[in-house]
Amino acid sequence: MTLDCVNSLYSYPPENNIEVLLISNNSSKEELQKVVHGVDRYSNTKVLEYNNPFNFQKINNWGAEQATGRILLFLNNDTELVKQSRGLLDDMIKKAIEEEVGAVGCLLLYGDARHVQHAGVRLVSGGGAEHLYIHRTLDDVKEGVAYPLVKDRRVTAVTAAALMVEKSKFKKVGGFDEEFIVCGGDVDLCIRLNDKGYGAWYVSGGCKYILHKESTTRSGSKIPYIDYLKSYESYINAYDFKTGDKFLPFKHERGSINV
Amino acid sequence: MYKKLIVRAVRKSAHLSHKSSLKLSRYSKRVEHRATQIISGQKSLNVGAQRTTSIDELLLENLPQITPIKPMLPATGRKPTVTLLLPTVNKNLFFGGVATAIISASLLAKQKNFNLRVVATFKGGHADIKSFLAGNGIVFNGEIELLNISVVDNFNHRELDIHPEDIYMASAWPDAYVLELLPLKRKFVYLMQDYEPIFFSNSDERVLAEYTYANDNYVALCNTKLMYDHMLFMGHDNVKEGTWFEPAVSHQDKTSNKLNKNKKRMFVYARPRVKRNLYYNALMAIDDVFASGGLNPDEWEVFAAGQDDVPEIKLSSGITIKNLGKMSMGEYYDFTSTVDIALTPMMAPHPNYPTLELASVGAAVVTTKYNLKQDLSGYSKNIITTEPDYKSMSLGLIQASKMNEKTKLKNASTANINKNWIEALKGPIDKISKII
Repeated sequence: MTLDCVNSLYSYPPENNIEVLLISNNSSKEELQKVVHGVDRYSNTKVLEYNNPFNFQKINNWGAEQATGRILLFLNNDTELVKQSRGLLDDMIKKAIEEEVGAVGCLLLYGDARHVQHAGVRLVSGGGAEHLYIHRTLDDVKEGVAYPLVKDRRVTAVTAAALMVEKSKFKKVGGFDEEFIVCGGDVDLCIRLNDKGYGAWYVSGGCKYILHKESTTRSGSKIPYIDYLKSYESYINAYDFKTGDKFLPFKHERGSINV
Repeated sequence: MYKKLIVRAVRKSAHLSHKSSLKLSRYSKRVEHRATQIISGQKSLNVGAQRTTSIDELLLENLPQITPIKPMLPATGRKPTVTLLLPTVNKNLFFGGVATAIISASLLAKQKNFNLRVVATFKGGHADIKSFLAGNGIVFNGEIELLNISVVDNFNHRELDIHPEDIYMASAWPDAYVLELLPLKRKFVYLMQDYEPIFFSNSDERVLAEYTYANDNYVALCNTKLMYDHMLFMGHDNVKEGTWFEPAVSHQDKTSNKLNKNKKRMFVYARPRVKRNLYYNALMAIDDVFASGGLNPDEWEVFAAGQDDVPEIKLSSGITIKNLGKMSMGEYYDFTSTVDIALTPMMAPHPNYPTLELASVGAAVVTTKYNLKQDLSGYSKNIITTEPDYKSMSLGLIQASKMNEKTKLKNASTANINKNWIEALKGPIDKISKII
C-alpha cells in the first residue's frame, strides 16, 4: 500500500522538486524493510521512524519539522495518484502559495474510482464535520448540483489525507493541535489557519482526483472521546448558527442526502 | 392484565434484541478489524482464543450509565434551551424527584425565555410534558422537545447537539458525570435530591457518584435545606454557590375523607427494591406494634403502596397488609386523604415526598432520622421522626395513633409545606438564573 502511494507520486509528480518523507509509526520490521527496500531507487525519499503511540497530529507535526521544502503535502499512505491525477499537485501548489490561502485539498475518490471520498469538509447542522458529497458517484455531483465538484471552491476545511499548505503558514498557527489524537485535527487546523486569514480551498483542476482507499484502513479504528470534545470546541467557532457551514450552507437537492 | 403482559414481553424482547445487536456489532467490528490486520500484514495482539476487550467496551457493558455524550453542533436556527437530562423518561414516572426536575427545568427555561429539552439518557419513552406542567399550574409557551439519546453509536458514544448558550441540568449522578465531561460554556445545574453515593455499597458507583460532587463546574440546586446542609456536612463546599428550595406538595385540600370509615387506616410506604426504604424494618415495626398490643389489630387496616410486585403480607397478629402497588397520582391523592397514620421510612438526608404529602392531608406520619434530619416538625407537627430501627418506629406508630383527628387537621392547615411550585421555586430559580 505505502509503495503504491510512493510510486504513484513519482509517476505523476509536480513540476517542482519534491522531497518524500515516509513516517513509519510502529510498523512491523518486515513491513518497514519492504518499504525501505522499495523506495531505495528514489534518491530524495527518506523513511523515518516515529515509534510513539499513534497520534495523527504528532506524527504529522514531527514529519513537518523534518521536511526541508517550502510547501508541505500531508498524504496518507492509502492514497494513490492515477492518470486522472496528472497536474493536480501543480494546481494545488499554485493555489497554496496565494497570500490568503491556507490549506488546500482536492477530490479524493474511493478505491473504486467512482465514489467521492472527499471534496471539501463542511460543518453540518446538528452534526459535526462531514465530507461534501461523500459516497455519491462522481458522475452525480461533478456538475448540476449545488456545489459542482468541477469548480474550485472555498471551504471550511479539507482532509489531512491529502492536505497541502505552505510551511510558513503551518508554523504560524503552531501546526496540528496535538491534543487531538485520531481525527478532527485537520478540520481544526484549517479553522485556525482561516482565523489567521488563510482560507481553505478545494482545488478541482477540472475534476482531477487521487484515490483514497480509506475503507481498507479505517475499519475497526476507535475514535477517542477527546477528539469529539476538541472537535466540537473548534468547530463551534467556525459555525454559523443561522446557515450552518459558512461556505457550503445547506441546500435542498433532489436525491441528495449530504447537501 | 393480559395486554400488560404482552407489552412487557415485547419490551423484554426489544431489550434483548438491542443487547444482542450491540454484541453482534462489536463482534463484527472485531472480525473486520482482524481481517484488515491480515490484509495489511499486521500481527494480531490477540493470543490464541483469548478475547481482548477494550476499556470502552468493558465500561459500556458494566457502567453503561456513564457512557460519554458526543457533543454535536446545534441545528441551524435552534434557540438556546434549558436541557434536562434524566436517566429515564416515562410518563408513569412523573412524580417525586423526576417531576421536581421537570418542573424546575421548565421554570428556569421560562425565566430565561428559553425552550425546554428533556433528554432521556438511559431509557427513552413517551410523555406529554406540556400537559404534565399544566397539571402543576405551569403554562409553558416555549417549545418542548423530548429526546432519547440512550442508543450508542458504533464508537460507544451517545450524541447530543449543544448550543453554547444552552443551560444543562442533571439530577442523577450519572447524568452529572457525563455533563462534567462536556465542553459547556456555562456551569450546569446539579439538582440534588438525594445523597446518591449512599445508594451503593462500597463500589465503583459509589466513588463515581461522590466524584460528581467534587467538581466545581456546577451550581447546586438542592431539594430542601436539609439536603443542602447535608452536602455541606459531607464536605461538599461547592454547593455554597448554589441554593435550595422547599418542594411543593399538591392536593393538600382533601382532608375530609377519614371520619366515615369502619376501621382506621395505616399506610406504609413500601419500596423493597429501594434499600434505603428500610422496608423490612418497617414491616417488623408494624408487626411489633400490633403483636405487642400497642395498637389493637381489630381497629386497623393496613395498606402498602409504592411498588407493584409486593405481596400481601400476613402479620403475626392476623392483620394482612394489602398492597395497592403503584397508583396513578389521582388514586394516590384520593387514598392519602383516607389515611390516619403512615409509616414512611427512608434512610436519606431529606424528607421524602410521601411524608410531606401525607402530613399535609392530615395523617400522622412516622418517618426516620438520618444524620442532620432529626426533626421534621418544622414542616408539620404531624410528622414524627424516630430512629430507623423497628422498635423505635413501632413506638413512633403508637405516638402517631394518639394524635386526634382534630389536631392532625389543624396541623395540616398550619403546615409549613409549599402548595405551589411556582412560588416554591421563584426565589431559587431567580438566584440560579443570575449565577449561570
